[in-house]
Amino acid sequence: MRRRLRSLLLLSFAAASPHDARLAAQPAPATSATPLTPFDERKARALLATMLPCLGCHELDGDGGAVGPSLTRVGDRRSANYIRAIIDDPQGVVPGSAMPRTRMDASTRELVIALLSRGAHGADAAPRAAPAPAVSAVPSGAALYARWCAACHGATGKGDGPNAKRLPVPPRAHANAARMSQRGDDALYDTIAGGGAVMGMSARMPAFGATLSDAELRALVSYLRVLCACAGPAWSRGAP
Amino acid sequence: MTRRRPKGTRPKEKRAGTAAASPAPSRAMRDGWTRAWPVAVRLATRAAAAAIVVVALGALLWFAGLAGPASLPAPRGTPVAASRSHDDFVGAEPCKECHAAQFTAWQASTHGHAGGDASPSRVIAAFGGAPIRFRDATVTPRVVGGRYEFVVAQDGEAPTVFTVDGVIGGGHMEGGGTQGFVHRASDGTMRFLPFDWSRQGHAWFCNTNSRANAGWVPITPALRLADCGDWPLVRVLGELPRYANCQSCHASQLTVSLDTMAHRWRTQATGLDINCEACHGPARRHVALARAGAMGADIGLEPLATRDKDASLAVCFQCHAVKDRVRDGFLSGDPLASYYSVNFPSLGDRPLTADGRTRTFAYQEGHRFSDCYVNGGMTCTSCHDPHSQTYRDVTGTPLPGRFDDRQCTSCHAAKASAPAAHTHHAPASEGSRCTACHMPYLQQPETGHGAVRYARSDHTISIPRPAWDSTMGVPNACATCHAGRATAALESQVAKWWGAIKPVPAVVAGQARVTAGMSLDEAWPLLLGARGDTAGDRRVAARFAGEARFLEQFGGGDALPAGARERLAELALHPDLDVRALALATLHQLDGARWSTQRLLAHALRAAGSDETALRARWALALGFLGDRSQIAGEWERAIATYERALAVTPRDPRLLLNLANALRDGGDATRAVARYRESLTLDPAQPIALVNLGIAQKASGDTAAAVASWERAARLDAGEPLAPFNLATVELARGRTDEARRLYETAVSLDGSLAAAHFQLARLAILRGDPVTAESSLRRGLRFDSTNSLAREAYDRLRGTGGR
Repeated sequence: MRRRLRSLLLLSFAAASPHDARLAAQPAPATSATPLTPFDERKARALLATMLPCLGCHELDGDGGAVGPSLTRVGDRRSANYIRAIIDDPQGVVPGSAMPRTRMDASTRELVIALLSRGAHGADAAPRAAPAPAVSAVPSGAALYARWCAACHGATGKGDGPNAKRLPVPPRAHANAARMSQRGDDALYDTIAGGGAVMGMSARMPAFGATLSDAELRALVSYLRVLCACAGPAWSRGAP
Repeated sequence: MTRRRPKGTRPKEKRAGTAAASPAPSRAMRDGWTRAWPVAVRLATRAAAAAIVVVALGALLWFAGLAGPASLPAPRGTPVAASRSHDDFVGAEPCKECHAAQFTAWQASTHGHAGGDASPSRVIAAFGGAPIRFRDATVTPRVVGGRYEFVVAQDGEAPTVFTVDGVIGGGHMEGGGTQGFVHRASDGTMRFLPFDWSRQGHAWFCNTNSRANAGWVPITPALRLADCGDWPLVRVLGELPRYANCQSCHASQLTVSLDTMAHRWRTQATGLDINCEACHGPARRHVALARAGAMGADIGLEPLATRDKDASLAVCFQCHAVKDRVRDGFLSGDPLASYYSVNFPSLGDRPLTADGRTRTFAYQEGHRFSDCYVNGGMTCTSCHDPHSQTYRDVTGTPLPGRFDDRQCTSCHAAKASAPAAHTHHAPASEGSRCTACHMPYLQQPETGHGAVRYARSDHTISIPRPAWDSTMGVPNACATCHAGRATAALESQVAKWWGAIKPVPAVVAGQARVTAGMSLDEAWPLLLGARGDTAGDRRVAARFAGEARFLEQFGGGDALPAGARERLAELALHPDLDVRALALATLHQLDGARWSTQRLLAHALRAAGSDETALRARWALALGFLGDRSQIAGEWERAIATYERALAVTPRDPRLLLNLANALRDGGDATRAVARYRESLTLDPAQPIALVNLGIAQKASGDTAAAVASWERAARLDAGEPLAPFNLATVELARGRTDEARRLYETAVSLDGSLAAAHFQLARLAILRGDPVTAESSLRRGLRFDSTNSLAREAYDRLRGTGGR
């Protein structure tokens, strides 16, 4: 289990070193995060603990996942501009990253950046966008699942991914036909696209709608149906 | 815009003695083994056997509910007095020093423009001097020297000028925007004028529901001024103990209280707009900390963005929900559940249908019935920017308009990827908009059928189900565009396009299957849900509505099937306070004689912890509702028993004591009534209406002197209470002191011009002294509000026939 997690981490950040080298060539940041008051810190921590998906993958002061790097002292390594850039466009900063783009309102985003970059003395600048990857065929649902979902939901959809035990709410077991047959395909799509919070589920389930294409989302939904060997309720399957 | 009477707080007012001579209907105000060890070893076996028998019998009796009674435990302390006061609020201005962007957004918002002083920039109604013509009056809205006023000229009366001392609303609402006006009355209250303005209709209208019962109607020469329920000026801005009034939200931090020293009402508000503190709570300490540079992790306010789904809704539901009051004295930022219940209106008033759509007058709280709320994370701020009241998607991205599909598709992304496959309507057409089908604007039924447009968007975010909608009595969304098509045709088209539709949840569908004559055995699983039903229990609002319907339909009985009892015992453990309280009240009412139920009820209170006060208030509210219902039906004994049951839950509730006293008095037990009135007044002396009723009971018991003293106390306490002088007048009349009686009746009608009985008495006195002209005027004034009084009508016609001679 531990070995598998490590391999996931390596996969996600395989391109970190060369990218950091490129960053060192950037000019120093002109601006940083807005100053963080004690109240701001309290509010930002509350948002991260209950409202945002970040701690699904990242650990902050002992709470959170281990898919991505720890955020506990991220300010020692990264500037506010770097953090802002990777939140906005993870694959643009770290090609191949398994971090989805998380949309949030501007004030929440800046608050999170201010918290994470507090005491920052990382000299990295706002990274230049990495070249967009060449458009290729839509990966298979299985491949997408392995890349984006398996760390929490498990390689075979039993909710037993290596990150699962680090989450406050157990990830859905996609192999559970009884549960999965109660949810229509659109609801599955919407949850993957919109994340857990908008569906009344764990806020630590990220939204992939700004990262994956419609075809990729549909491929994932189809693969969930393979994992559960089930279909959604009849009413959800459209007109005969 | 509606006036509602609080439940279980029905301080009935009544005229004494001679009022019967001028028959006028009395006006119900809106208002928790021992074992004998054998000494001798020889007897041990026999004793042990006996003990086993005792234990077994005890257990049997216990489970049979016959082991022994249990009384409800006394409340553990009284509710803590409100810690907040108006002095804790600073208004919006100081906020802009640090929060300029939010302030600017608010200032331009509907909250920022919700009301204020009358000025050209705020008033949208026609105050150009063009008269509003009634059949029997002409009203002229005009501006004189910058002062806005209405001149009311009734036929046969001198004109009266009412200054506009406040403007309520700005006609902002898409489905029908209105503006109303308030006038500062001499008793310290702000009272609504009965002339409202419809922005879309560009016309004056009034609410006739409490009089002519025709809804909201445009004012035309066919309408009588008295057909408007708010004439004379009776509707007060803010909540009074005897009124529930949604208008308490058309101002910020609005309270109305009786100043017992000044003998008048005290209206306090930070402003008639809806300010920052209305949502964020009192900010004086925050401002002080900020200005002192002393803000740490505690800034004197709590962040709203970190609130969970229900806590977030509670901010908006401070205003945007029809509620029942469970405690007086709410100020912005107070814990809503300590003061109000959003569910309890479903008991009795039923403003919503079983699926949460508008049955009478309400809409935003319908959100709690939506799948977006029940099975999702949707709050009000998922779509509404709280500062600007503009629209946004679930990630906070601003959207250009209220009909923008991204409000929906930011969650329902699957629909966005192929919209036409879902909508079956042409892209960009009216029918392809999410809101057109799922959030249609529907006229609020209580306002009438559209003579004055007041449509509000369906916040249950329903799925068009033409046949089901018809069952619910709600216009279906398809018909809002395809008006000419029959329900069956629309249902057929829906089936053709979408096949099977998501089923209506069982907790809702069950309620729809219950009929008025259905047996208790058949109805309870449909209304309460089957034992162990946890799926339905997630839909709290619908579950409560089913419980409420059960109590409404079967609360008058005295038996409960075992299955229903066990189901209610489950619901008595429900996490929602309202659901729990209603289950307990139902068990108390229908099964309270059973010892096991008594123990369950007592245990519920002991286990309530910090919820105890709020739980007791709701429980007593439900029983009070049943008591009111019996009282209205003239079932005094049942009313008395129910109020006494409620008082076992909240023993020191002055209003329940008042209602019990009214039931005792009306049931003929004036002596016990007087004792209960006194108890109520000891707990809350600031109840002029209790003094009026005490006097009536004293008079009924033959103690006229005590009655007079009570009415005089009422008049001193609240100089604006018309029933005190009215009842005093009847005594003076009986004593033959006609001049004093006349003076008191005149005082009564000056305080409440709709007091027809007082007008008729004045007419009678005028006739007795040979003043037919005054008699005719008084009869005319009385007949405006009691046109069915045949004796008065006959006298009036006779006087007119003689030309007043």
